[in-house]
Amino acid sequence: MGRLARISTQQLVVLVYTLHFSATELLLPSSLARTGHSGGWLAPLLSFFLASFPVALMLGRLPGRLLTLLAGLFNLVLTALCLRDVVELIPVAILPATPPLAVAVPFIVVATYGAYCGAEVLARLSFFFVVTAIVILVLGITTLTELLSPYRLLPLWEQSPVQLFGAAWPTTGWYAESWSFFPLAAMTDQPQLVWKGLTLGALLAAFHLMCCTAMAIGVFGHELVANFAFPIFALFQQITIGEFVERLDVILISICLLGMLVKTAAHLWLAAGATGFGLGMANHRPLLPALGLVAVVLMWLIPNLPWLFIFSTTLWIPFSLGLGYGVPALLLAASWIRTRQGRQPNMQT
Amino acid sequence: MRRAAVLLLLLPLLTGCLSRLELNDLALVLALGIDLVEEGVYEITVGVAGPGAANAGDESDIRPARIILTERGSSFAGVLREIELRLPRRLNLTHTLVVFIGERLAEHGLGNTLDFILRAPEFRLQGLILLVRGGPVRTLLETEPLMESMQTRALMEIVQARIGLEIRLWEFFAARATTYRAPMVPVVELLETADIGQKGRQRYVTRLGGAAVLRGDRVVGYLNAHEVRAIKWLRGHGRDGVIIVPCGEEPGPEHASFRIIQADPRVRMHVQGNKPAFTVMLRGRLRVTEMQCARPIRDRQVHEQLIERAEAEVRDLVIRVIHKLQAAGVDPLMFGEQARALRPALWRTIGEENWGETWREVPVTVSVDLRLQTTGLMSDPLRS
Repeated sequence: MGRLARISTQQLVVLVYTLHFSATELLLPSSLARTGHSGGWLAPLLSFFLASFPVALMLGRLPGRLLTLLAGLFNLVLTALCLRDVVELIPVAILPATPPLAVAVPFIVVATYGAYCGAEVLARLSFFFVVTAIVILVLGITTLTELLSPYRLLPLWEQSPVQLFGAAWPTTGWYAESWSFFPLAAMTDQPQLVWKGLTLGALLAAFHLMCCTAMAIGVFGHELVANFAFPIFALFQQITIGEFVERLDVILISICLLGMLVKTAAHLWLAAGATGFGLGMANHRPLLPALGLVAVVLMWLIPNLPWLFIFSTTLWIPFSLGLGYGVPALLLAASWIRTRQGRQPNMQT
Repeated sequence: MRRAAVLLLLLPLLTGCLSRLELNDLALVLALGIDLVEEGVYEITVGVAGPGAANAGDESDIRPARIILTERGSSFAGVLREIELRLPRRLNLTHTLVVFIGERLAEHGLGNTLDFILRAPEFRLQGLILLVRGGPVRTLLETEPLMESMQTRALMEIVQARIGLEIRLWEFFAARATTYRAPMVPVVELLETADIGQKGRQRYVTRLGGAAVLRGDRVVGYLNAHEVRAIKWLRGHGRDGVIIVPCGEEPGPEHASFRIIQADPRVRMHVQGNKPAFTVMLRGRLRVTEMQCARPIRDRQVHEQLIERAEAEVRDLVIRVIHKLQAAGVDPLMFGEQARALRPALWRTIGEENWGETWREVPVTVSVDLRLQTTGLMSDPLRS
C-alpha cells in the first residue's frame, strides 16, 4: 500500500457512508419497490443488519490482515460499475447529447487523481458529500411531505415478511461489498473503534436510502416507483419552492456526481492497493492510470442500462454476498487460529 | 485539504459543453396536446412561446407571443421530428406547463400514448394534465385568454388559484400505475361565444369545468364543476370553496354564501362483515361572504340554522358524488388505498383488480361539522 496516511474514525464513517449510499440512491429504489411494494422502503435497514453489520463486526476484530488480488479485481469491477452508473445517469439527467466516452474519460481522470491523493483526501471530500446530501434530504422532506401519502407506505408486507427479505436482497448484496473496505479499516488511527465506524457509516447510509425510498413510494406509490429508472431523480424533480426555486434535480445530480466521484476513486484506490500488494509492489500509485484504463474498458463491455440493472440487482448479489461473508469469515478464522497459537495479529499489515 | 479542494474544483470541468443549447436555438414548448384522429393515428399539437412572448403587453411588438403547431402521425417522437422540420429551432419540452388530452382519445382509451412523458427526462411531471371537451386542442390553444398572453398560462393560473381541480402529471401517472385507484383529469371546456377577445371576435372561450374519471385508460364518467367541489373537499383541498344556502326562514330566493377558510377531511375505515366500510368526517370553518336576507346572523338560532343548511348542502353533495363514483365502479380518492394499507388480509380477499366491483357496494357514511369563524367586515346585514 506504500506509505499509509491515517484516517480518523469519523473519516471512516463518512467514507463508508459515501461508498454505501452514493450508488444505491440512484439504482436501487426501483428494485426495492418492485419486490417489496409498499414496504420496500424498509428493506435497506434489513440489509444493513444482514450484511453491513456482521461484516463490520468481523472486520472490526481484525482490521486488515490480508490484501489479495481478489480484492483488487473486486474493486476494479466496482470501479467499472460506478463509472457505468455515472455514464448512464449523466446523459439522462443533464447532458443528453454528450457521448458516453466524453463523460467517462474526464470522470476517470479526476477519479484517478482522487485515488492518487489517497483515502485521507477522499475522506475529507466525502465530508462535503455527506453534508450536502443531508441538506438536500432535509430540503426534500420539508418540501415534499405535502405530497406524501402515508397509506402508500403500508402494509410493510402483503403476504409474509419473506417479501421484505426478497426486497432486501439487492441492497444486502451491495452492503456486503463492505468486506473490501478493510484497507480503510487498517488505516484508522483507533483500531478498536473500526467496527463502530464501519457500522455507523453503513447504518447512516441505510437510513438515508430508507428515507429517500420511503419518500419516493409515499409520493408516487410503489407501482410507479418500480417502473422508474431513477426514482429519486424523479422525486427531486417535484421540488418547487414558491414556483421560484425549481429544478433542484440538477443540484441533486451534482451532489450524486460528487458522491460517485468519491466512490469511484475509493474503489480505484482500493483496487490499486490490493493489486500492488498482491504483486509485491512498494508503491501502488503507478498502477492507477493502468487500472483506470482497465475500468473504462470493463465499463465499455456493459451493453446497456437494462443489463446494468439486471446485473446489479440479481447476478452481482450472490457473488458479492459470497465474498462479503466468506472473506471476513476466513480472516476471522485465521485470526482465531493465530490467537490459539499464541501469536498476536499484525494490525498494521 | 488542498487536494480535496482541487478535486472539488475539477468537478465542474466534467460537464463540458457537448450538450450545450443556446436559448436562441430553443423553441420552448409550453403546452402539449394529443388527440386521436383514427385508430393508431394521433394529432399532436404543441404551443410554443413565440419571440414576442417576453413583450406580450407591448402593442408595438408585432412578433407572435405564441406559435401553435399541429402534426399527425403514429408516434410522438416521429411527430415531434416532423414539427422540428418546420421550425428553425429545437423543440424543448422542459418548460411544458400543461398536457392536454383530447376528448376522443380519452374516451377511446389512452393506452400507452403518454409513455413518452414518463420516459423523457426533460418532463418534470410537475405540469398539469387537462382534458379538452368541445373541440380540438388546437382550437383551445388558439383562443384568446383574458389577461394573459397565452391560454396555457391563463389555465395554469386558474387552476393554481385553487378554484378548479388541480391534478399534476405525477398524480395522474401514480393513479394510472395502479389497478385500484382511478385516475382523474380536470376538464377544460371550449364554449361557443359571441364575446370579443383581445384581438377581435373569436368563436370560442375556454372554461375550467369539471373532471373526467377514468377506469384504466379510458373515461367512464364526468363530474361537473359543482361535483368537483366535493372531490376537492375529500382530497383535502376544500379551502376557498363557496357554499350557497337559502337564507330566509323558509327556503326562498334569497341566499347566504359562505367561503370555506379551513377544510379538514378525515376518512376512517372499519370492517362490516367481510367488507370494508368508511366513515367520512368533514370539518370546516366558514366566513360569511354574503347575506341577501335581513336576518341577524349574530342571533344564535339564525346562525345555527344557516350552518345546518350549509352542512346539509355539503353532506348531500359529497354523498351524491360518492354514489356516482360507486355506480361507475371507480375510486379516484383514497378509499381503496386505505383498505390496502390498513387491512392487507381483507385486501387480499377482495383482490386488487376487483376493488372497483367491491367499491360499488361499500357503505360510506358522511358527517359534516362546520363552524362559523367570522362574519367578515359586517356582523348583521343592514336592516336585519
